[in-house]
Amino acid sequence: MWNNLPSDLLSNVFSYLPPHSLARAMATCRHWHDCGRLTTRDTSRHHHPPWFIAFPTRSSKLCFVHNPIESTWHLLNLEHVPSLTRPVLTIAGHGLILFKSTGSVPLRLSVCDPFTGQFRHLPPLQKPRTNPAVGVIEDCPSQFKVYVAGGMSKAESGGAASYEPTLEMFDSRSNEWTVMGSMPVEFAVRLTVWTPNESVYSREVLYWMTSARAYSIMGFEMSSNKWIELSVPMGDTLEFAAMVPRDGKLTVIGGTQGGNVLVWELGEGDEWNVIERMPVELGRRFIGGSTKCVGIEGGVCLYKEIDKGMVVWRRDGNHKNKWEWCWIEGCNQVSGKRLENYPIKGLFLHPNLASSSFF
Amino acid sequence: MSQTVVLEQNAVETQSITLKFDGCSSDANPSPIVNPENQSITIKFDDQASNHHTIPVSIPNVDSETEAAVNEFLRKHGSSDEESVRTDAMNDLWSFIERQEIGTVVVLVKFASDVKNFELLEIFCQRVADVIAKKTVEEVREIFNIANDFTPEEEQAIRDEHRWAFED
Repeated sequence: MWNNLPSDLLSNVFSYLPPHSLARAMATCRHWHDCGRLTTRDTSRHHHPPWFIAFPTRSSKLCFVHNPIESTWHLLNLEHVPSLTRPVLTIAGHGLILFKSTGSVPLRLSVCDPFTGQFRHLPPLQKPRTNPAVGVIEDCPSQFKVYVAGGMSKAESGGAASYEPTLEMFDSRSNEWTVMGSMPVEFAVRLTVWTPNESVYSREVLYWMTSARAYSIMGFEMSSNKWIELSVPMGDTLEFAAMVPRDGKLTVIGGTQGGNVLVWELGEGDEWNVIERMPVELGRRFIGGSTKCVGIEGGVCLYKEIDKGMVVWRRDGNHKNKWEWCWIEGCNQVSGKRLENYPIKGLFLHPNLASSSFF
Repeated sequence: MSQTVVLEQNAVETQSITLKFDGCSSDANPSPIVNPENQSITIKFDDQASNHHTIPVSIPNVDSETEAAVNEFLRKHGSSDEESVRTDAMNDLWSFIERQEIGTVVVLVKFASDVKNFELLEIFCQRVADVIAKKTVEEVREIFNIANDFTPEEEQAIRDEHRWAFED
C-alpha cells in the first residue's frame, strides 16, 4: 500500500516535524510510533525553533516547557530525576539536560531527557571536586563532550581543601573522563568561586563567564591548550549578562539598571561590536525585578519569575538571516490550577522524542 | 546515478589525473577522500553535477503531469549553477506538489530515495511533514488512511507519554 513508507523514509519525514506534531504522529499507529522513536533530529539541517524550559529553583521534580510554535506552556513531570540535583546546562541538540548533585559532596553529574524520561548518572570524575565550571561541546548528533574546570578538592589526609587546577573531559562515546590538562590556579579560583553559568563553544575556544560583577570571560583554547581571558563590554555596569552562541560566534547579551538591553558580538582582534538593542517598548514592559538570561543558537530569552512575561530574541522561522523580538506571556496556571509564582532557572533545548543509545 | 572512481597509487611520487565521463569532463570539483591504508583515492560525483539531464526519467505510479513536473525540475535545476534559477525550479516544483494528493507525494518520496536525489527527497519529505503537522491524531489517520492498531489502553499510554502534545 502506498501509505506504508519504510521505516527509514518515514523517520526522515518525521525529522521535519516540530515536536508536538511528531508526538501526535506517533499516536496514530504502531508503525508510526516505532519510527518516531527512531527519529533523530539533525538541528543543523532542519530549522526547528528551540524550546525554553523553566526549572523552579526549589524543585527538580518538574519543569515548564514553552512550545514556541503554538506559544503554549506545559508542565513536564520529572519523577525519574533524583532529589538534591539541580540543572546546570543543556546538551541542546541532543535534547538533554545535565544535572549536578547539590550539597557538599564531590560533583556528580547526570543526564536526563525530560521528554522521554530517560535518565542516567555519568561516572565519577578522575579528580573529585566541588563547584567546578561545567561546559559542553556537541560534536555531532551522536556524540557530546562534557568539560569540568576548576573546583575545590579535598586535600589528602585531612589538610585544607584547595583549588583543583585541572580540566577534565567526559566523552559520551567512550563513557570515560580524561584529564585534559592543567590551568593557572587563578583561573581555577575564578571558575570556582563565581559559580559560572553555561559555556559557549566558538571557534575552538570553550568560554565561561563569571556570574559576579564585574563580569569577565575565561576561555580554554582547544588547539593550543591555553587559557585566555576577555573583558565583557560594560562589564562593571551591567546588571545581568549571559553569553550566547550566534552563527558560531560568541555574543554577549546584557542589560543595565535603566532597562537598556544590548547585544555585542566578538569580532576581529577580540573587539566587541554592538549588533542589536532591545526595542524600547519591550524594555518598558519588562521593567522591575531581577532579570536573568539564557541563549542558544537561534534564540535568547530574558526572564524573571515563571509567571512574569519574557522577552525572546530569535531567528525568524521564515527568513533565516532575520531575527525578531517578541514577548511571551509567563505561565501562571497549568491544567486550570493557578501556579504559585516562583523563581526559575531557564534553559533552551531541542526536544528529543527518540530513544537514545546513550542511556 | 552517482559515480564512484577508485584510484590506486603504486609508489609513484606524483600523478595528475583528469577524469572524463561520457565524453565531457566533469566540472564538479569534488573533494577526493584519501585512504592511507590501501593508498587509494575515492572521488564521488553527485548526480546533479556530472549528469546533465536531457533524458527525462520515468517515475512509476504517478500520472504524466507529475512526471513532467519532476522532470522539468531536474532539467532546470541541473542546467544552471545560479542560485536564482535553482530556487525558481524548487519553488515551481513546490507549488505543483502542494496541489497533489498526498498519495502521489508519498510515491515521490520513495522514488527520490530510490534514485538517491537528495534535493527531490527534501522537497517531498517536507511536503509530507507539512501535511502531518498541526493536525489531530484522527485527522492524520484519515488523510493517510492509517488503521489504528493500538488497544484503547495502549493509545492512552501513548498519549500520557507526551501529555503536553495533546493538551488543546
